[in-house]
Amino acid sequence: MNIVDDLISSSGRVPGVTPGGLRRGRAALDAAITARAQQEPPVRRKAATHWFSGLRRTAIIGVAGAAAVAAAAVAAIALPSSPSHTAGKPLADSSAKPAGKAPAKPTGQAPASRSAPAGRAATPAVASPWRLVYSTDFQVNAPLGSFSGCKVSTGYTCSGLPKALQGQWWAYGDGWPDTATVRHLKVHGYYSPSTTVWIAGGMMNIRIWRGTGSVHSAAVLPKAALGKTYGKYVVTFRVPQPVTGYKSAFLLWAMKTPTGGTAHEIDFPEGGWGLPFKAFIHYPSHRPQFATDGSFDSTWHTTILEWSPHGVSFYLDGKLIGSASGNVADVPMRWVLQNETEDNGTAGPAPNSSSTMQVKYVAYYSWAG
Amino acid sequence: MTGDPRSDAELIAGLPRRPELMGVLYERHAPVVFRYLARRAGPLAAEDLLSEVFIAALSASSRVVAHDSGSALPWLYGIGLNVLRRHFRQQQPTPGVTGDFGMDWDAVDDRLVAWAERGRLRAALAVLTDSDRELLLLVGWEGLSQAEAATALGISPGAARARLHRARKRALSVLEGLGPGGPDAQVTTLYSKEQAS
Repeated sequence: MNIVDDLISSSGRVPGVTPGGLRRGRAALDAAITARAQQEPPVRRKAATHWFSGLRRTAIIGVAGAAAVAAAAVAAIALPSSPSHTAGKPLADSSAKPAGKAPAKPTGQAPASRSAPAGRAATPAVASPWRLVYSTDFQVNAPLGSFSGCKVSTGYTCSGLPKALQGQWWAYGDGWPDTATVRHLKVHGYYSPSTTVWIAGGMMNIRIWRGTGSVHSAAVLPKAALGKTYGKYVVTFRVPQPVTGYKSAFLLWAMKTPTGGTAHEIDFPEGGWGLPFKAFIHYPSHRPQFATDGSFDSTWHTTILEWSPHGVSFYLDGKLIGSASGNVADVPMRWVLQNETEDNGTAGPAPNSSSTMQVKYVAYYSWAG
Repeated sequence: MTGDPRSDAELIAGLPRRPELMGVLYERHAPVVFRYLARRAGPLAAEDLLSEVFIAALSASSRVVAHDSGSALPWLYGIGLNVLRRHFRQQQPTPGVTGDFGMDWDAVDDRLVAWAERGRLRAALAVLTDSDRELLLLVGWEGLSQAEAATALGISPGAARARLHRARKRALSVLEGLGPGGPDAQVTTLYSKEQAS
């Protein structure tokens, strides 16, 4: 028998907790203690008591069941905890009104106008926690080449844009490396908004392309959502003729790097062109993902990402595809419509190829819950 | 360690009316609870889960008494186990260990330098039920007595003794069955069975 014990004990070395980890844990605990010392609804106390009773009863075989009750108990004290995520179940405290108006099939019409924004609460009697800050169905044109002079130093402006759009849009500047370049992939790219992005016909067109060298990609950012904490992000898009090797990730990315902690990246939709897209949350220790039946192809889709203090929810064409709560990101983010070289290790796009992302509706709502 | 002179038992007894005493228990036991979590889920996840254990304990403190040994640790490990279960259920299944939510094998692997030892440990633990494995590890990694481990798992000392004997016997039979070059092949076989099931 000693063989077993020796083998186990010899493997028991682990690094100690970092001072930062210890402090974070204490801060979360102190918040819980404070909350508990204040008014605590009887139902929560009951849940916690039940949890412990369950633990005592379940002995060892029933630990999974006890854990489920424990999860409820942890959630019941309404404090930051480790992420929990469910599919197809709306967050209790979110608006729970997936109201993306765009149908799954192409209509040729914008899903909403300024007077009827997508994401509007479907039930007037219920106060929506979301306030429309910005929406566009791209009625102001911007020719190819106007997404130029894009700099941070000038207050996130693209000086080449028409004046009416300079306050609305920004892009990662010409020559910035895309993700595949950062990852040193063989086929990689550089953002090149001046050669890839234009607005016409009620749409933003993002034609990313490759000659014989690197890829010319584009990451555009609605300025209304720049540096905001929490929000509802709505976008209607399609890729009429997808080409393998290009991808999109519409994502929330912390204004200040490094990311991590509660500054985790949130992506929706993300996927290769021509392929199904998913939602991802990049927690520090794991990365839950939510599959959808939507693809970056010729079908118009509307995605909604709701990010509030209560959690994150993802909707595709009005249907909730997943939610996550606990350890919610709580730092200012930028919303990036990022279109670039595929970065999953597969071959990038073939030489002399191109493909175009079309975006016909974008909206940002602030959280007012 | 905190300089607070009160015993764990005294602190636990005062928790229902004075939840701030959990802060004293945290200062006293957080590093050890962290290692408990890190051995099973890796240090990165453990930092996230650490506060969860104590917050859950806060909610569960109204009916608890310290173990006869006077230590709050068996109680905290029991709560930690539930926190870990939830954590593992939320993870994306790892190819090859589908259905096994009781262990982050990568976290285990990090601790074993020699490939042969890694394979042996994985093979030995893989044949145990989640609960038997936890019992074995509470004793082997956390250094609990059988009685303390029983408290952590909510079972009687007698049951713990019997289960521990069974777990060691099963693990030993696997280890004895591994030839000199056999661990990797054995692990592969185990995984193949899991994938096929």
